[in-house]
Amino acid sequence: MINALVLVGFFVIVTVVLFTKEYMDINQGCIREAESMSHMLSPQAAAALAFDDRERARDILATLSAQPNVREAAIFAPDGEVFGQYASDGFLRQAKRPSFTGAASGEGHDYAIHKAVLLDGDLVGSIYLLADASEYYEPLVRRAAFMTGGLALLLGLMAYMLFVLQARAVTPMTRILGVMEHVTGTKDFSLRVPMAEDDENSSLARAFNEMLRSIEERDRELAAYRSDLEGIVASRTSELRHEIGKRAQTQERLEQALADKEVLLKEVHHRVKNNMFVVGSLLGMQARTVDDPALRQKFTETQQRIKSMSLVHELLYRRSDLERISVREYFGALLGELRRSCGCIAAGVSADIQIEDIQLDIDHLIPLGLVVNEIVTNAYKYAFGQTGGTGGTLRFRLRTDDRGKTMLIEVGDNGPGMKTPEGEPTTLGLVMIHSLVAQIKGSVALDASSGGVRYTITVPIHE
Amino acid sequence: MHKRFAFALGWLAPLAAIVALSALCRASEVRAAPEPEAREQLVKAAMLYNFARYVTWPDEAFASAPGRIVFCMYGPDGFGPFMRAISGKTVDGRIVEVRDLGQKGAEAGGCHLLFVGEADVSAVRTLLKGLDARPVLTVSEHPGFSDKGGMVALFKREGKLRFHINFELARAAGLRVSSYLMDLSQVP
Repeated sequence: MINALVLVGFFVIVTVVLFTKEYMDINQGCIREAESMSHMLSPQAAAALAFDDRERARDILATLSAQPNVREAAIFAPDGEVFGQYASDGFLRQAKRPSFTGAASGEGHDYAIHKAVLLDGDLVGSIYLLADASEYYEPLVRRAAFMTGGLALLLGLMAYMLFVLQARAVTPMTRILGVMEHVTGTKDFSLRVPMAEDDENSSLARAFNEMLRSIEERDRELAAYRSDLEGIVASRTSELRHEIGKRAQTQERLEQALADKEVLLKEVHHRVKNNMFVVGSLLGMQARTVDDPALRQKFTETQQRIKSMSLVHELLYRRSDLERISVREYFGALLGELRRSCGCIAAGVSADIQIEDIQLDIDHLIPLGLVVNEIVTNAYKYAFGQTGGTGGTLRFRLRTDDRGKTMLIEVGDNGPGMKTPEGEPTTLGLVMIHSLVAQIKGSVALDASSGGVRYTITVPIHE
Repeated sequence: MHKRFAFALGWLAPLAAIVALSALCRASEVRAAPEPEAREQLVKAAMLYNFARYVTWPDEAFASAPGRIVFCMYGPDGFGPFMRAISGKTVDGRIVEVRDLGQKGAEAGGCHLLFVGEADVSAVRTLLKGLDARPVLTVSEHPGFSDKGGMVALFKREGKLRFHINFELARAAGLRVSSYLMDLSQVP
């Protein structure tokens, strides 16, 4: 509609401009025509004026009867006296010389020309023409009236179309939009667009109302579902809370039981260690009553073996972890105890000890502890015993291999070495070593070929 | 639209005096003459001056004095003062010189315009014959002037001075008379 109004406005402006241009052209054309006539008559008028021939002047003006649009004409003497006069209707009015020179518009579509009449540059009078340009303006006026009527008709038609559009499209659409905005703002889907006529807008309103009804119904269902769901959630939450409470109680009981078990286990380890200490002390007391040095040595060795075992239990009950013990801590303590028990011999022996810090369970440690006890005791006794320990070196290496699945223990000395036994071991020490290593599914290798003795023990630890 | 081109003509009023008449008013003799007769003489002198404006002479007519046009009077000297009033005016850039020939018609050949005053018929015939188709515009109030070989005959009609031009004679003398003058020419 705006575009149509702009178009009409443009049309009106263009029309006005064109009409104004045409009006000015007609005006200028009339003036040019009058000037042409006056120019044509001027020499004749000059001659008539020069020879004071008024009759001739009237004759000259009478030729204007061929120009029906010329209503009046006059020739004036220089003093303003009327020298000759003409009127198309034959009625000569009292003529008076105009006060202007040139062209001028008169009443209605009249226009006038008043020009001086010169003869060889001398003013001999003036000539005046009054013409009616109605016949020139008439078509323009008719066209303007036609255009104005057409424009009025067009505007009327546009106004009618605007009214119809407003009544049939804009108002129903505005009503629908109003309900849309209200529904959007309030979320009240119970509203409905009122419907007046059965047309496209009513179809739209009906569809919109149907959509609102669907949304309202869906909201009701959702509300019902939400209510049911809340009940289900509340019930399930209650159950879960109850279950969580039960589990917490169970966990608490389990933790308590575990703590009790740990306390109990520590107590067991403590008592085992104490009992082993008592056994060791009894063996020591018994050894002191024996006169035979060899027998006494047996007692002492046994006492030492029991110590190596009790050391495991001691470390277990002192630590928080009741299942696994640091091998570095255990073997460090065990080697120190063996060094102390061997007294003056061990004093001259230097220790080359490297232990990887890993954790190991009691099932591996007690056999390994007995094995190491046996090997190190033998080293102090046989490798360094003859020299009093001077210049001796005890070498101990413990590390894991095969990505932590295997533990390697190397125990060796730089003593005089020993004869490698052939076949099955016969001495108690070696039997014990092989037996204990086999107990934990390990293997032991003895190398005494290049001076000194070196045991290599390989044990799967499944770490 | 009213677009007026208003140029006052008021200042033209003082200049609006009749061109010839205003000039003629200088003569003291004119002021002393009776009003109607003096006015008639002034009109006649102005008419002679205007004849010269509408007539074209051949170039050879001005061979001796290119910048002058000679108006001559033949006959009594009664018209002389009025004629002398136009002396010094210009026609087509040439200065008007007025000569009073008196009865010496033989000198009329050096004139461009010859006004023949009161004279008998035979003298007029002799004068005109002596010009013998020379480019001299002859003007006179003498009755039957055209019939006697004159070019412009002046006469009165309804109290107004009118004229008749014998164009054949004028053309034969080498003069070109404006068509505007033809329009004003009347049969006596």
